[in-house]
Amino acid sequence: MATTKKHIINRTYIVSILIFILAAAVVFKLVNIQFVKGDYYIGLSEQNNIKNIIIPAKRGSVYSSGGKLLATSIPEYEIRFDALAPSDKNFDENLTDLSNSISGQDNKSTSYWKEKLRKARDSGNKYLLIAKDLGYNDHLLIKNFPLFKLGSYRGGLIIEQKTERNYPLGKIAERTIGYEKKDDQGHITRAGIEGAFGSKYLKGTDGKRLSQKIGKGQWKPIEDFNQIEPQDGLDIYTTIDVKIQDVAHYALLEQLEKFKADHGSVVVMEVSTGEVKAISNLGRTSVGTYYEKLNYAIGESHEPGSTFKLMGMVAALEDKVVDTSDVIDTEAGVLTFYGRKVKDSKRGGYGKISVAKAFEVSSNTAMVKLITDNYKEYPEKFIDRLNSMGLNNTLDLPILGEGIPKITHPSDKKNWDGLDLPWMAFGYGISLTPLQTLTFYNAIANDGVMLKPRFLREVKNFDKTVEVFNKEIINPSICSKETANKVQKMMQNVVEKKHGTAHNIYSPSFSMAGKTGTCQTEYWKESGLYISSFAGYFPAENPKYSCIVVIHKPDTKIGYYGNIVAAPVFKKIAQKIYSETPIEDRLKWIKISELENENDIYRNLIEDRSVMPNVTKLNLSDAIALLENLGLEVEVSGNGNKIDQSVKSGSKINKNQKVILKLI
Amino acid sequence: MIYSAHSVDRKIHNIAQINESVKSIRSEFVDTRAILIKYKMESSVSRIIKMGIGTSTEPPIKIIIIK
Repeated sequence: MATTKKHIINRTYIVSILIFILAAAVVFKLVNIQFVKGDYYIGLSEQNNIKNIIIPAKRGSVYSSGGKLLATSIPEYEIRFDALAPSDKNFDENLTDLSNSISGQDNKSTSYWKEKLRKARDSGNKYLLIAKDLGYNDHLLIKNFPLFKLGSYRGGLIIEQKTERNYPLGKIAERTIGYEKKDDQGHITRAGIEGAFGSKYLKGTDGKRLSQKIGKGQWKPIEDFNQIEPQDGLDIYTTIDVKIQDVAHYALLEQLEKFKADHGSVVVMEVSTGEVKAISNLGRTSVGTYYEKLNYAIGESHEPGSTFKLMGMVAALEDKVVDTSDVIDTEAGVLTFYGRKVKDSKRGGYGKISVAKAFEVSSNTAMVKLITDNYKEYPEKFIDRLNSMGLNNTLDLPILGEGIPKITHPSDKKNWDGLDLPWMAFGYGISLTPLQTLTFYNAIANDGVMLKPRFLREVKNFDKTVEVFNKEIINPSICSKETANKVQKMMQNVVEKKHGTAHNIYSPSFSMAGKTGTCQTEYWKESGLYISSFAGYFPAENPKYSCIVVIHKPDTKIGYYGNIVAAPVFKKIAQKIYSETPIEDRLKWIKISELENENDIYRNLIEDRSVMPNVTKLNLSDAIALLENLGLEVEVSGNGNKIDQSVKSGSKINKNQKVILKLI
Repeated sequence: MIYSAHSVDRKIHNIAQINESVKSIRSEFVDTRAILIKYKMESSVSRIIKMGIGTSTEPPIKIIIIK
């Protein structure tokens, strides 16, 4: 017994010693980890679990003038499929239905998808692309397809989401709304409004926060301090009017398609503020469809042709070298300078015509004569006049890539020759962008006050206004009001008078004014290429909007004159705006007392409510109203303008009694 | 201490979840609005409606009574 007890005690000692050694080892290791290698492990853990998380700032949205979204950031979805996830039973059961559903979404056949899904399962593809760049509603639809609705574990559905820029208007004004893109090398391409105001307003600043990793891929902030708060981008409200933009886009598109033109642009500007209401640029693809290829209206500087006659005319009138009623001889429609000919589009010329009429019929010879006769001794006077009207300067637009205007100055001896002045008179040898030309026309419509074209109205932070943009005056007076009024009249006649070059767009119900332009382009390459244009404003008497239409290289077999190709687009826009602007009809308030007199007549008629009144002298509707008010039932028969009542006046009446009013 | 750390974790998961749904609701809104804008544009309305109804070429008349 004693031995057994000792035996047990010995064993206990051994076990205790072993446990003690184990504990000592644990303590040793703990001490080792904590104090000897502690710093190393703490560092490692921080590396894995703690980092400075960047909190991305939300990019601001772009709105139209009416508060419609033009561009905003929203998540886009990509749907992938883990072909191994579903069980055999689920996969086989749903394969046909699923293929059917997917093919309904992307126009590929059911058998194509069936084949593809089966192959993916056989080859063990755990990441098969089903669809990408989906909007929220489309992604929801796919999520509810057979098999996919079982979820990610049983159905194998993988949804990936990333924030993308979305343009609700789609292809309309795409180029002007623009974008900001970063390529692999970190170069940023900036186009349109997004590009122009991206870094200043839309972008915002990213925040930083020290965070610790916790489950499910989330990070938890460690400290409240030592972080940069993210600042969301601001929203910008543009001047673009979706309605006008819509009209401009489709009017231009229709005309480009009709004339198979290479490209074209339209800009609509508000005369009194310089706000660009619509800007559309369409270029042709190799298969003959059109899309917003480049911002031609802003970027493309080209020879303007006859639309430049306005600038020449304004300069000449301002310098008082001619007046509208002076007479010019168009000399059979041909002039020769250094062996080269200036011709009128009308064979044989226009005979002797007034300066105003020369503009209205767009006579090349007359305009050339007018400018050369008066300026040939000192061409710099003409050029200086043009320059003082700001024509040699860019508009300094926020949108990048504005075309640079070119007007050769006589002091530039290398580039100036004897042909420059006469050719300039009808718009050759110089170059302007459509928007620069429009800015000038807008200034004329605005009685000489030149305004800078604007794209922005306001910058807002949610509903708080941060910055408001007002109109910017480039030149308070490019010409006297008198001169402006003179050329306004001429431009009105271009449309209104039978001899005007754009009389084909004349409408008796609303007025327009403007100037056509048909000019050859790339004549150094091949002949028969034209630019058709029309610049003007409407209504003619009280200009509200100015507009330019430029169409490059229409098919000459179908037509190429500015009045045929470009002017109809202008008319369509003008017509639309006209028909949407209500005409106000002001009426005088009729005093109650006048009505009361009439009331008295009724009152006298029904002095006694139990007696039938005489209604034969009233008109029918009054008679019915009166009798029904007395509680009678009225029936009308016959045709005519006199009333014969079935119940005699003065006789007693009862409620709901029937009275027949016969018209005779 | 441990309890509050866990409750913070919970909150963060909660916030992440709510953010997710905010995002999807927002994208549903934008997506739907984009469709609406497209439908509302006159060019598409006139394409859809073919019942002999056209857009007016004459402006509406507004009657204003001067007192």
